[in-house]
Amino acid sequence: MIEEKSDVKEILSAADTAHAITRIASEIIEENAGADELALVGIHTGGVPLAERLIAALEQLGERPAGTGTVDITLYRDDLSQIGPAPIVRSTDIAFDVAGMTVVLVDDVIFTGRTVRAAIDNLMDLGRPRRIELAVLIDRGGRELPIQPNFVGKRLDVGRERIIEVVYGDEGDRVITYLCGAGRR
Amino acid sequence: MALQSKDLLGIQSLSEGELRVILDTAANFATVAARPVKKVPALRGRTVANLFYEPSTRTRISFELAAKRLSADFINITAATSSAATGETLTDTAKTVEAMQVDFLVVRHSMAGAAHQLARQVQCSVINAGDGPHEHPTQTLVDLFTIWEHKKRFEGLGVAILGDHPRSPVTISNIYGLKKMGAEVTLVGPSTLMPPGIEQFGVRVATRVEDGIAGADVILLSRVEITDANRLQIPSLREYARFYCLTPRRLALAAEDALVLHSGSMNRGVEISPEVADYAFPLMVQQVTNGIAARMAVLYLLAGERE
Amino acid sequence: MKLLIKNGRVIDPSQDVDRVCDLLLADGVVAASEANLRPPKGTVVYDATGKWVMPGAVDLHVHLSEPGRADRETVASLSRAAAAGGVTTAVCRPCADLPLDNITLAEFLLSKNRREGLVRLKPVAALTRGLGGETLTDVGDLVTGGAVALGDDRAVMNSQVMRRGLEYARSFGVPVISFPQDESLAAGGVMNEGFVSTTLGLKGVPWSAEEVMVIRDIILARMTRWHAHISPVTVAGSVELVRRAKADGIKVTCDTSPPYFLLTERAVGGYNTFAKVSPPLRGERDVAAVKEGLADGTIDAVASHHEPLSIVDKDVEFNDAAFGISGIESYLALSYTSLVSGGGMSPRDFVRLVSTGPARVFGMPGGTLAVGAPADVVVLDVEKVAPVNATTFFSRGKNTPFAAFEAQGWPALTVVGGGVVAKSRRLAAPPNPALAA
Repeated sequence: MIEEKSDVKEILSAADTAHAITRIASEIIEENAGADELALVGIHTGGVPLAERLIAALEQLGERPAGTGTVDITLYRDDLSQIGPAPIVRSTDIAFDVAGMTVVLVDDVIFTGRTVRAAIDNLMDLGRPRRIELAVLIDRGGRELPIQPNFVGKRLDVGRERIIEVVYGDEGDRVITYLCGAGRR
Repeated sequence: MALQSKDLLGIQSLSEGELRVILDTAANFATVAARPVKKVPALRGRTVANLFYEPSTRTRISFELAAKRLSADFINITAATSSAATGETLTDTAKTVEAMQVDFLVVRHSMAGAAHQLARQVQCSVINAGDGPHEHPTQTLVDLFTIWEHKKRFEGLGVAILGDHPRSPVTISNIYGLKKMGAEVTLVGPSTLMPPGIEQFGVRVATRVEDGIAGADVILLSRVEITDANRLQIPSLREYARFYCLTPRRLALAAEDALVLHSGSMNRGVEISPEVADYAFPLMVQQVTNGIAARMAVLYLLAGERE
Repeated sequence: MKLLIKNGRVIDPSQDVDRVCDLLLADGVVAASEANLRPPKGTVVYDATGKWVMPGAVDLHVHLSEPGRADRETVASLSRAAAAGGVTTAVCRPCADLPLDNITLAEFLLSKNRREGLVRLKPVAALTRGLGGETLTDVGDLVTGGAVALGDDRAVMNSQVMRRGLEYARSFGVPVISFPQDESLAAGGVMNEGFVSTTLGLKGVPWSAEEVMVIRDIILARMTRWHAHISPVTVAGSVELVRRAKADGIKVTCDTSPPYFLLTERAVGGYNTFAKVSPPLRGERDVAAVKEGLADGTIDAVASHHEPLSIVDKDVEFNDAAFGISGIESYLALSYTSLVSGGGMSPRDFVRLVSTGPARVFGMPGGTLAVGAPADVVVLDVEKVAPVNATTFFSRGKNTPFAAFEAQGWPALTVVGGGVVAKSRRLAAPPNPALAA
């Protein structure tokens, strides 16, 4: 099912995105006084490449997180019966011991907060982190749970019907927004 | 991609793509078992019922753990040996189970087709946990998963299957599964143990064990014993052991890193020599762990809505 | 009462007739068969324009379960089903519910039919006591009491018993029915043995189980110089064996039934217990051979092989389900559909297979429209196409694998002994006075 995109708009250019990522990286270091007990964990799927870029940005700033990994929230979703066929389960790959760590969850866009809730639950089942923080590139509001990111690239207020997508690419990453389906609305 | 059917009744009806999705999902569930909290909330609020018309402790417990690790509620229904024995028709049974509002019905039966007959009459997902000599799809998924873990390929893999094929709960399912994944399958045993029409499954038949396992990458064994049902197919266990038992000398004919998988409780000295049994035992233990992961994958994938 | 069936296509292989004319039935017999007959006063006229007028179907193979399992079939329900299905004579075989191994049971059946029946009912007596295959029944008694043939409806495994049975039957002039299935080769089998049974995980009955018995009984028929009737033939090899035996002048006849030329073992797929029947449904090659045998006269008769069962016999695991198909109400239409519509068979050959042939095989009246013959007539609406609908069966057995099968050629009128017993599915009320004689 490939739906047509219409009314595509660029929100962040490649330069804007790179800038935002660097800024988040600096804030993470600042807030946590270095990266010694810090782990970066990308939430599948959109958060995984963003976490990689954040790690690269941290390294440019001379810091290397003590742990990195990915989490797949599929099994922690609260809507399995409502979303059609069971989504593909991806690997949760956390090779470090989360106990005592400060784990920064990384996702591309935060909306309702349900994905982050699921990621937190997943993380807690793996051990007891000292602290969990959240870094996102885009905060589009619309929260349905009391969850707020610690680090935000850009806050945006677009209509609920619009999709926001981070387009990762060799010539830089961009953030776009569009409507799904040509004739609709 | 999800599964096409609401039920898992056999490997026959699964596509290669579906098999791969199940195996990939099982691999991810296997990591859950390694965590301090061996439970995920994916099936919270769902109910899994085991309906077993014949005892099979291993399979029953494996499904129970799989269900519980997915946070599903779980009930065991012990049935009589058949609907005739209860005096209840299959329709009665189906309606009763339906009234319990279960989401998954795991059916074990000594007779072929029982799960299929029930599945037609219920809305919930039916999983065949072995219907006599017909199919035992989840056991095949476990075997495929273990083979994949060790060999990382199926294409061109030489697999020899030994056992009392007409009564083995897994021979047919394993043939379907392995053939769909691209493996070369050889069925080994005396001609009396070859199921009718077996050539049409696209397998090689070897009546000499030495021919059957020469160069094999994987050897699948199942329990051999003599009952009223096969007295005319196996003259004696001693004779069977002499000509078909997997001994170190025979195992040496297989590929150097050959995998020996046994699907049930071993009859040491009959289908497998004590030495080879010791060699194969650690894998059997791993099969138990893998069994839970594979069954979690099946429950999870069937839980999604179908279009 | 007089009945004039006007303007139908009268088909009677016994007289080699196939022409459009009128048929007058009077006093229980065929009175005249000519064009433009002038009806005598008080004659009821039935317009059969566009339809076939043929001797009523003679069904060599039906079962009923009264007394014992009346939920499966009674004399009354069987008779109603037969009338609706165009059958004017039904031959009842012994079975576990009704073993027909003593004169009392045979007399019970016949007297019950006189009171509650619509069509003629002829018993086949058991060859051995209790269908046990060991000792012969009182054959003479049973034949005198109305039995038209002998047979246990299961194989007589002991060859000496079969030999003596044939010899003894010869003295009383009735054929012995051979149910061709070697019980040791068939043991535990629930469908045809082969690739399909393996894919379903079901134990099979090999073709050889049938051929072994067919050839044995052909040999015994040759030895005893007496009539063995093989019922049913279902595999290609059996048809060929019978063909050769007939060519050799051995006294052997055989029948088959629609499931064996309309369905293959694939009908069992999905564990359809309604397709569980004994002998089992076979492969495509067998179906082709059976059709060939029907076309070339090797097979003498098409029978319904009517085994009515209750839902509790069928709504269970496949292995546990009872064998049998409820066939009497649809077999004529199914045969027409397969053989005439689908196979291009001549009307005379068709009527030979469903009426004239079976009557001859067991030496029974019927199967002819010759003047003076009993007025057992069926008018077949050969244009009518309708699905087989078990829910409307008069038979108590709704167990048909042909549900929703579009069949052509349904009976429009059934006459037994001159009396109309079924007209477009409206049945007469028993007793039928013609059966009192």
